[in-house]
Amino acid sequence: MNKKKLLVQSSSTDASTNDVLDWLYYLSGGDYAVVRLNDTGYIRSVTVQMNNREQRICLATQDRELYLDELDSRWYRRGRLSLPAATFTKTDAETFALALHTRRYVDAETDVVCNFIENNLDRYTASLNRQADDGINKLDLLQLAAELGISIPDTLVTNERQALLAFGLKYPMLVTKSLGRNAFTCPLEQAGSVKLGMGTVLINAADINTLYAAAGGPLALPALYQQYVDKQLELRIFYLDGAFYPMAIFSQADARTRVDFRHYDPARPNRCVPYQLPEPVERKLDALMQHAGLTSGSVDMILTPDNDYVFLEVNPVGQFQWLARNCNYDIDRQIAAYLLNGYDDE
Amino acid sequence: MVMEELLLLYACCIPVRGARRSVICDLQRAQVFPVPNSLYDLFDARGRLRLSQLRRSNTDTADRAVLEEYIGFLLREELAFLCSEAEAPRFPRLSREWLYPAVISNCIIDARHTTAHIHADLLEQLAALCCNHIQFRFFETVDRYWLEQLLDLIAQSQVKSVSLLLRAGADADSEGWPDQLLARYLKIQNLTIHGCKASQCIAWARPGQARPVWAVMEVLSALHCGVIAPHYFSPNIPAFTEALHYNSCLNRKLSIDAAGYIRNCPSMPATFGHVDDTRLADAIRQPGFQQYWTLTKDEIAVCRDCEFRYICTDCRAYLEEPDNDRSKPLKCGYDPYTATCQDWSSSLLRQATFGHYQQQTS
Repeated sequence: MNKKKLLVQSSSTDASTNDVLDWLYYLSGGDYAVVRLNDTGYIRSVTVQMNNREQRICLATQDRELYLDELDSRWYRRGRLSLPAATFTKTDAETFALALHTRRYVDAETDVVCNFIENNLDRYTASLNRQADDGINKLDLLQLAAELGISIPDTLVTNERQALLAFGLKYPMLVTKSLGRNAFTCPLEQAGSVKLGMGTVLINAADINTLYAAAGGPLALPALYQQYVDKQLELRIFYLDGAFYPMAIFSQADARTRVDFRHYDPARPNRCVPYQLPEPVERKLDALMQHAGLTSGSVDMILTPDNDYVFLEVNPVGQFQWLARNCNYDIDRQIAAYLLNGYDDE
Repeated sequence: MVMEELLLLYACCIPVRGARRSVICDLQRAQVFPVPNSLYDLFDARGRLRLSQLRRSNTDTADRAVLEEYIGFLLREELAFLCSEAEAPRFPRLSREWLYPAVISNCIIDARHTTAHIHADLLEQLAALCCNHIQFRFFETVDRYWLEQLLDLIAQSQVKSVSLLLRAGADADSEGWPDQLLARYLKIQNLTIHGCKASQCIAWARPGQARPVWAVMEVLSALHCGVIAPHYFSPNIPAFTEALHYNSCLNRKLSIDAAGYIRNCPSMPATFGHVDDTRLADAIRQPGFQQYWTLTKDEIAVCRDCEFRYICTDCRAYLEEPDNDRSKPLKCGYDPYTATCQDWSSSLLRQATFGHYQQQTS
């Protein structure tokens, strides 16, 4: 008998993927063949055949051919489906401009094919998360949360100086963070690469005045500004198909972590313990995830000193290993069971 | 937090009561704090200490001073935090379940003069049991090219870590070989070379990790196992939850001795077939193989009264009373009734018992 096939899209360094696969092997008694595609650029070629009798989609990687209709389930963890990039040599400004437009054309062509494959993965397999989840719009989610009655920080997105100044007068302390990606890596001409990160940054009236005082029209980018929310606790909540795995982070005992818990002291990490969300908060978050079409994801919230639960964001591909380990939650086992049951239900 | 009336232990800080004193096991920061039993007794089963109530009832100055000292200690070490009665249900206790996705968690494979019992099929059988951590103990020198072929196989397998014991000899002594092994085989977690001229530890630092290489003078054998000592303590969630439900030494363990016989533990007498004619999966289902897997420290004499019982490694191979399989490990010198410790081998009685075990294996 052929083994069932699971496609996992991930990155080679993601520890959570290994943890889940360990459970998958253990629970299925090795009855599963896992095809793991890591990182970007892993598809060597793609072939789509379509006529009135049949349709076949084949992805070829370095060492194998994968027919989509042979897959039983699929887990999108991280990464992007992508084809090898066409390269252009840029010798002068003119060919550089030509290359840029050719690049856009080529990307658009490839996107159609990749999106088609993506749609078919959703169509034919029991799937946990989709690639589209990774690009989920932070503003859509904030809007949705507000509409569902979940508290959100007072939020401003603008590149208008005047609007920012007024917002800054209202709140003495603001935070700003990226709307799209948290970081990007830029390859350097000679060797190596540089990684640029855009974590959460605190700004105050003086920063805003500096921005305002700079001459010129609107600011370069419309950016996200939010009121700084005082914390009693930070909450990181893993969500899987209606179940919640919340963890409370006691970040306030240590002044160094007051903005973003990731700047922690390794010798004395913040206390991270299991937490029980109030039922009304769970109900609203569940509605949020369902409306957003997310079967799993990590939700960031703040419990304020006034006991208000404030929603910050959802990260569909966020890390959950540290959460599972600190709280002894069986998240890895539950994900593995979800992927296995997907096949049982067929 | 408005009404500060409870002192609540963080869920990862678990108190364990012993005969003479208690400990608080900090499973997040991997620390152990000995505390008086009188402090343990202040907490209820859910790790809550009723602060206002205690302060009201301890009006005596001396008692009150002790109470305040305890509270100060718990807050300073961040073992507990203040919260109101209403907030307390938001902080559930840590699940006590042991989460470990493997039929066999790790395996020790021994070899002396032949390595014929170690081959690709054996590794495949281990993979089917989800065994991802293997220790190889070569009591005699081993052929360099054979070993590298084995490590090549492992490099492509699901195995996550390998621990190696090598005997000093032509290759192991040769300049740079240990270095080359570590550079080429990233799954090697640690490497010990025994039978050397001197004992020393050399740490190979590399980006992101440091994997130690130990050179030791002694010539090692399976008799060297079973030592119970604080540096073997594991104050972490996987070890603690396993010890709550299972034997902390033998549960889901497998070993293959130098002659190819399948065992639960290399230091214990029972064998369950030979690798030439018995599949590992069949061996572990034989009656007796899992006999000790669910024997917890709560059922072992003396250990059951010890405050370290859920962070300690057990040993069923060398016992204080060889005929009583529920007696305490021979190589433990700690007395939980007095909370004092002495070197296990300094006791004449224990030395005599160990002599008995040595005779059995010789």
